[in-house]
Amino acid sequence: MDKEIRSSFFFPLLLSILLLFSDRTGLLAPPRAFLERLCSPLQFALYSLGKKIKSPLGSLFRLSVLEEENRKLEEELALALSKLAELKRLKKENEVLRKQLGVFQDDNWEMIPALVLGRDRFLKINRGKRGGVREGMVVVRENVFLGRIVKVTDFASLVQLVLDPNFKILARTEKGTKGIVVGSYQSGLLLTKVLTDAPLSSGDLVYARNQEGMPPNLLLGRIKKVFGGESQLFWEAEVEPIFDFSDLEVVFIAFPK
Amino acid sequence: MSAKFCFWYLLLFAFILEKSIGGTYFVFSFLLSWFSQRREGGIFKVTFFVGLLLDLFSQSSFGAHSLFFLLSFLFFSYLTQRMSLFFALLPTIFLFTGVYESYILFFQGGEIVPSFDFFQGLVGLVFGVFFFRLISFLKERIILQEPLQLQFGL
Repeated sequence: MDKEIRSSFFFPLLLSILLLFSDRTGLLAPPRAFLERLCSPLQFALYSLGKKIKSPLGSLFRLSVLEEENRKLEEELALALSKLAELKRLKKENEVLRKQLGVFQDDNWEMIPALVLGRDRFLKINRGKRGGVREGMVVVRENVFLGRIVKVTDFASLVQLVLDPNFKILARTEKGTKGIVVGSYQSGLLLTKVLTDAPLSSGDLVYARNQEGMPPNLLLGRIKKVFGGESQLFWEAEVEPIFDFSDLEVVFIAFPK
Repeated sequence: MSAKFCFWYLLLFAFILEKSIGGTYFVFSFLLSWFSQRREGGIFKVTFFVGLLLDLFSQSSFGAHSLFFLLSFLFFSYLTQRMSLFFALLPTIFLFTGVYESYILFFQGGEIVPSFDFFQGLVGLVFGVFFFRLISFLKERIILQEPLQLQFGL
């Protein structure tokens, strides 16, 4: 580098080092909290804009996949319509029973909404310590488990998604088959450690096993493909997430009441 | 189209990618590509402030992004004395990916996720090459040969 450039290079470099040490000692927490609040709308706007750009571009490259998906969806729609009529009847019945028993859903849990501000390895949301968020809290959308809070600052938090390769959770299928779901960037989710004598087939819904600190019966996904055979000790299955994780705008944090 | 417009428009594009797809590599590869074409002092100031913004966005310590960006520029300058600009770009992006991710993992908490880091490195590389070609093209066809400081009022 030339001499004059060198001088304009070292000032920001030294300033960066100084900031790094100051921040690690906690000196910059107040300005960070202020800036975080200030920048939240900008982050949300950039994230939303990115999704709008990504969506038509992605569709162009996925035409053949979309065609296949469309065919499957049509089949599923026909099935869903027949189930819908049955569900309506059951819903009515359920309402009557619930009133009678005096039981309400989510009695122990309150779902607090949060906006998604961006996605890196983690999902960033606009609620932090000041909103009562703590590490380890569960993040959901409807009854679908999305991940856990791993880092919290005053006005924002980072969520480790189920897709993260370091994420593991005890799971069970709708048929009661137990296993462990681990994240995988390549194939979505993997259901592992399933004993070969347990029933497991594609299309089965996979739930998180009820644990302390999380609402019961949260859905993880649906089994897409089963691997392994009788020669192996365990089955493995590819689990398709319910939501497109790149398309989330609002999520909910489960607060115990 | 003015140089000022090109610069900020592309930087915004890199930010949008960063927010929606993930990784700081879009922004980094853009700044590095720009630095490869124009080595004036103004780019360091831009890099410093852009780094701070990314620190804020990704909840990492203030100064972390700026520091690694600037150190990568230094490494890049060293490499360009020995090889062409284009070929110097590639190891710089991979080095940045490795060093920066290690920093994040070890000092900011977390565990090593090789598949994710490798993927991010590749993404950075692809976009680095893309930005390098784009900026080279813009430089030849559109952008005037004024110093960066004059063009961007830095």
